[in-house]
This record gives sequence, C-alpha cells and structure tokens, in this order.
Amino acid sequence: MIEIEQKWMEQFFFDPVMAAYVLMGAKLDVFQQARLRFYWFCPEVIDSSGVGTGKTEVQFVYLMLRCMLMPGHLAAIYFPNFQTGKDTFWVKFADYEERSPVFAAQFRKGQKADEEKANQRNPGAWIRTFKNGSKLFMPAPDCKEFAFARAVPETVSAEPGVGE
Amino acid sequence: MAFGDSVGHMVKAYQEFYRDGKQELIDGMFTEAEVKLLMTPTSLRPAQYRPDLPLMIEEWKRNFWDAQYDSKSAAIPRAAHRVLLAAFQSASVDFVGGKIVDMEGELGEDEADAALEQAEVAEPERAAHDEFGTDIEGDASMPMPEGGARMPRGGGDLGVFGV
Repeated sequence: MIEIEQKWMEQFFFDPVMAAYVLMGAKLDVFQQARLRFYWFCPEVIDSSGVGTGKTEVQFVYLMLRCMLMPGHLAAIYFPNFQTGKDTFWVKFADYEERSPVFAAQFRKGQKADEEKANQRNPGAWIRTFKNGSKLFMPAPDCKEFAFARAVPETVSAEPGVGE
Repeated sequence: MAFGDSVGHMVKAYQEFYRDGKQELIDGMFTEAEVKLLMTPTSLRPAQYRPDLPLMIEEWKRNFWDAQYDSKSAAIPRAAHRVLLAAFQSASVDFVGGKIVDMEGELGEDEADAALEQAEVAEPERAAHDEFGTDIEGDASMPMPEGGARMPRGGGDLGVFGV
C-alpha cells in the first residue's frame, strides 16, 4: 500500500513553484517563480509586467493549481477579447496535457460525452471541468456593453460557493 | 494513466526539482535568487521584497489544517508593515550602491537574468567619510593602525566587511 505523508501534501500548498513543476511540468524562470508566489499567497495582485514576461503562462499555472488542489473550486479568467483568450490561454491545456501525465489525468477522457462535458465550448463561455469537480470558466466578453463595464480584473479565483 | 504511474511521475519530478539545491526557500516563501531579484530596485519599479509576507505565511503554515483559523489574526499592524517595507527598500538601494538597474527596452523572458546580472556587476559606491566625518581616502593626517588599513564604514559596501 502506498502511503503519502501529510507533510508531502502540504508542500504543494506551501511551495506552488514545486507544485507547478511536479504536477504540471512547468519550468518557470526566477521572475516567474516569484510572480507565481505573489499570485498564490496574496489575495489581490496587480501585475503590470511587460509584454513577453509570461503573465498568461503563470496565470494558467496558478489557476490550474488552485483547481487541482482544491476540490470543487471555481475559477475564471477573462480576456477583453475572446479570441485572444482562445489563442493564448486555452491552447495551454493541450501543451500541459502533453507535458505532464498528472495534469492530463485531471480531465475525463475516452468517451466522447465525457470529453465534451469536461471541455465545454459554449458561445457564452468556455468551461473546463476537472474530475474533482473544479471548474475553470473563460467567459466571452459582451461587446455591446460599455468598455468600463468590461474593465474587470483579468483573473478571478473564488472559494466554492462564494461566487465572484 | 494508472495511479502508480502518476505517483512515480510525481516522485521523479520532486527529486528533479530539489536536485540542484537552488529551490530551498530561505525565508519560507522565496528562494535565494528570488529574494535577490525582488531586492534589486530597477528603473521600472522599486525593490519589491515584502518582509511581512513570509512572517504571515509562517503563521498560516502552522495553522494549515485548523478550519477555525482566521488568517486576519496573523496580519501585521500597518505601521509595523510600513517600517519593515521602508527598511528593506532602503537596504536594497544601499546594497546595490544606489545604482538602479536599467530595465527599459526589450527584455522578454530574460528580464530576471538581466536584473540579476546587472545587480551583480554593479560596483557599490563606497562612503566618502566614516562615521566621524573623516575622509576615508587621501587623508594623510589620520594615523593608520600598524599592520593594516582602516575599514571603510557605511555606504552599503558589503564587500569590505570581509577585509
């Protein structure tokens, strides 16, 4: 029988960079590591880093870790342009599923119905459902709304039942 | 994928992650390289190391499995937080001798390396006077101790303390 110590499980929460490497195969540079820790430990973060510094990459890792480690977790990412979200964020699922078997195992596969349920692409929002009940939402922005109404933080991650 | 496969993958990745010894958390939150990066002020931002975070996280770790734990109880008073932050930011400027790493222009994914590299090569400015207001260099009137030079003080030149 395999025994996993409580201490080892705690480490995933105490060191998100290690969790990202072990569970997702994410290799981050020093700057991205520090950024992930700020995302992980600070409830509100404004990231004004420049283009090409890996904001979307680390946001993906951060949201996936929360969904993987907290059953029933609800998270969302919002892009002002839906197509940008599809092209820069959603494609990372395929990348990381190929990179890490542990990450790939988080989603139901095999039956077409299961796969469709795990990866819903509704017009209003794309939704990824994890085996542990967590969900990641990427809603499509409503272009008919005023711009200021869409000016919300890029990422939202909430405890189950809280709703944001 | 079988359960055994996933555990094997995790154990292997865990060993790989800690193999080079660079991933130890020196303050319970950040690695040495991360602290160095965050303590380095740049032209785009001041030093960003926050000493209050590791303190709060240590408290949070101790109560990780306590469902009744209120994280607000670990909050550091705002005044104390400001003192800590100001002290660390001032120390950061001293550490690099007042030189600010230029981060303008195309940096891309090498931003961290660029900051670290420049911080390491920046020559800290030595203090012109010691704590008594005496010129450290070129003051022939000051008697020198036999067998050794006086140690410059202040100015954030950490290298001289090893002399």
